[in-house]
Amino acid sequence: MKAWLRSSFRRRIFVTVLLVTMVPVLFNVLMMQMQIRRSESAVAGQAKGQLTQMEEAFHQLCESYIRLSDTLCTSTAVRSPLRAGNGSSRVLYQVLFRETDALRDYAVFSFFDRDGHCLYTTREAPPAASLRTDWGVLYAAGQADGLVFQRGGETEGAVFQRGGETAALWAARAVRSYDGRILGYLAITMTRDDFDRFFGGMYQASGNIILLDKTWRAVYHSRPSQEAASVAALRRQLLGGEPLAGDSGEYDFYVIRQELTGFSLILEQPRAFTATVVRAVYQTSLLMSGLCVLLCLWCSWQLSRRLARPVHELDEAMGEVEKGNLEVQLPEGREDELGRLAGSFNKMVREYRLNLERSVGREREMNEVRIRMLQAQLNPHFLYNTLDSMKWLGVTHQVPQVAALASDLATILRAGISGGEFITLEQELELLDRYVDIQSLRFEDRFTCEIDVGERFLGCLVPRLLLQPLVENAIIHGVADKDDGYIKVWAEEDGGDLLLSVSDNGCGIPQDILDRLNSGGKIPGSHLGLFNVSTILRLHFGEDYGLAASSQAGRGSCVSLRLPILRG
Amino acid sequence: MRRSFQNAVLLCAILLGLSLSASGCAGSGEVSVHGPEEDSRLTVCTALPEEIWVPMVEEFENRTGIWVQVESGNSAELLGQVAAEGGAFCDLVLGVSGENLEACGSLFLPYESGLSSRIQPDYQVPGGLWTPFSVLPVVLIYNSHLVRDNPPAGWDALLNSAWRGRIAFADPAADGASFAALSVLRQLFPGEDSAGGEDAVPRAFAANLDGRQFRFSSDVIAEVSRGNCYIGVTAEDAALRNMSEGGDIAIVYPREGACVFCDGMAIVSGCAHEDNARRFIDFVLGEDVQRFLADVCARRSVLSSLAGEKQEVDP
Repeated sequence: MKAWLRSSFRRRIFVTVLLVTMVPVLFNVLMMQMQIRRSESAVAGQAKGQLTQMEEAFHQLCESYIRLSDTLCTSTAVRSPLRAGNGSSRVLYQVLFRETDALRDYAVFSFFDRDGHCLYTTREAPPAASLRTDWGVLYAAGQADGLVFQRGGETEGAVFQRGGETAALWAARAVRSYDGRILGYLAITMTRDDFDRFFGGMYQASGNIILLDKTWRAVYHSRPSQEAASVAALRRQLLGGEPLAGDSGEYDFYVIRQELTGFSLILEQPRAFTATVVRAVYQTSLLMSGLCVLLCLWCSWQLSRRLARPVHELDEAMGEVEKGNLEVQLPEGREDELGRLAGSFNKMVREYRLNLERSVGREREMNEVRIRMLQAQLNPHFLYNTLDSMKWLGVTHQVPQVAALASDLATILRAGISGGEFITLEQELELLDRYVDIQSLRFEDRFTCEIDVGERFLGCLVPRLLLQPLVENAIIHGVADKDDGYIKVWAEEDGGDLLLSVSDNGCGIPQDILDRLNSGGKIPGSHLGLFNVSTILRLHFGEDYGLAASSQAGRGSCVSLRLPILRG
Repeated sequence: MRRSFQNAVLLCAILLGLSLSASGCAGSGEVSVHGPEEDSRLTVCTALPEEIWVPMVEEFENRTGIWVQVESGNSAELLGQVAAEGGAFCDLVLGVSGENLEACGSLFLPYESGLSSRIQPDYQVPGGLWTPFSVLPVVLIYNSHLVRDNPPAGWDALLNSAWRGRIAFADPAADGASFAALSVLRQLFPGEDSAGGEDAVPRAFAANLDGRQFRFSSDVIAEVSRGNCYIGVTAEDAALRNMSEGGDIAIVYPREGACVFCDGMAIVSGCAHEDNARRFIDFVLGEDVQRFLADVCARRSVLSSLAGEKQEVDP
């Protein structure tokens, strides 16, 4: 992955842009989830508050029942009639109604005899009812000392009703004599209606309140039609160790255990966001995120393509150039940095191509010169042999000039055709001396040639027969027509280069020829020697070296050669 | 460039992680409550009707504080599940006829309750593989509106073609009363048809049923009460309860003598709450429950002290 990213500029741009655009999308999802959680926790907090309030109210109610049972069950006014076992004690009724005055709104208070027959009750119409004492709430009351709370079971419910309503909650306590015998029972019953009134207004109408006994059997459910299914589901979930979700899953459940009775009070509240709503919200946000991601993908793909294309093209063009294709050119439509870069590249390739063409041309020129020189070397051998014959003819026929002439010419020729490209300046000057000797014979000493070269230059290496064309030019085109011709050859150092100059006092060089000589141009006909020398120097040492000529008409001329100082 | 790229990747990863964790936590706001400890739990499977097991179980819960989970169904299904899952399915089988429990003896753990000596000697189970808790006479019932003349008087009515196709009879594999009735028929009328051998009577009876057989014993009473069937075979208590609720049926104790069977309970071997199952058995054998069953559910007690007048006759 890392290598895949690193290998491409475009991929890096693409992934970076994609990541950066993903940040707000993810942030959005996060914020939404936090919002949902916050409102859920707000609803939960409110529900818990309500539940605590209801639990406190119920706790107080139970406490008041216990206090009441304490008062009644220890009262002689209660014990005596119960011991007598008849239901006609006016005193007991007075005590019962007086003590239950504040509590009768929510419950019915009754006294049962020791066999479970109802003797006294605060109900409007006393029933001829009886309860089992070996079963249910009276059994439990008989086993315990205090007030016991039980849900209204099937048997008790059928026995004791109020306004057609089955008792939902029973609380009972045995009335005992001083020696502990059971004289009768105090029973407190609350019906569903009583609970409705008691809890009414303490919770939101959309919720439900459920009261369960110790083993989570329903005591009261504010919506009786849902009681059986809802409580069965809750009990199953509790026993199965699952989170409480009820039978529909559309509610949140808040549970609080009532310590006094061991009962559990449950507030069933519709979810702030039902599963459907949450799913819809998530689906929508998922869809939006998906669209955003697709858009981001497309945009970052396009952007990376636009940014990376010129770079890619440049990269490819560079590869082409490396392979040797110098014809490649980049489009130059853009005006930004990449456009300028493309322009520079094009210019560079063009320059490179021209440079290459130039160097190929120079190579070709050099080859031509070499061929010319090879051709030129053919005749001199024959000429040298001929000159040697002429020398010996001159010697035998007593013509020393001819002999000297032939000897000098032969030496010059031999130097021209043998040996390497370079000779020392000393050797060159020796050849020049021979040449001057020959020309002196021809021009009958009408000129003098002075060679003024310092010792230190004699060892320098110079191309062969470099000075001869210059001196020849000075003689033929300069001092030929004069009687007191003067030619001077000298050497000097100039800026690290060797400067060899030949000056004469002849008629000078015409201006047009002078210009051509100085610009390195070719001179047709005469002065070919100068041109050759110039070419040889430039080919050997580059364009900085070569020939420079100056002249004053009728006063003479000076031709200088510039070449690097080379030591043999 | 590389550093900022890494930072962007890191930021994305953090945001992604946060949003995933937030969605994971965004559950319901219920308060966590814990169920009861393992030692105060009991799972009971029962073939008893609700009107019998609900008061028993609730009273047990009230007295002991043990949480009881009840699976109800018909005997054959429940025993099948016990055979398949063993102690993982339930701790105690309640209200299945003694014959059925005996037949699946290997599934159960013997338990001799301290109270079993108080069981009537006729119904005591040696070895305590299962414990009887109710005696159920098998009776004939008929619809008191539809059958006015010549109501069935004895077991022979089941073979009488006059009732052909009008007899309500539950699956003997699931219902103890049906099983007992079938046994009585075979013993009362051995070889009535010599050609049929041992199976002759059951075959004749099956033909008289005309292919109708019900899944639950409660169906028998409902069918007769509604008039879909004229006569039926069922346990006495169910018939009495239906009559007390105003059902249109009448009970006939067969003139040959009613037969009886016992509803029993047994602890499933390998169960998780064996001690609580024992407590439940002791509770059911207690006088309170036995008296309650007799008074409220019209069941006859197995206890000697509570045995009323018996209708049973040895065939």
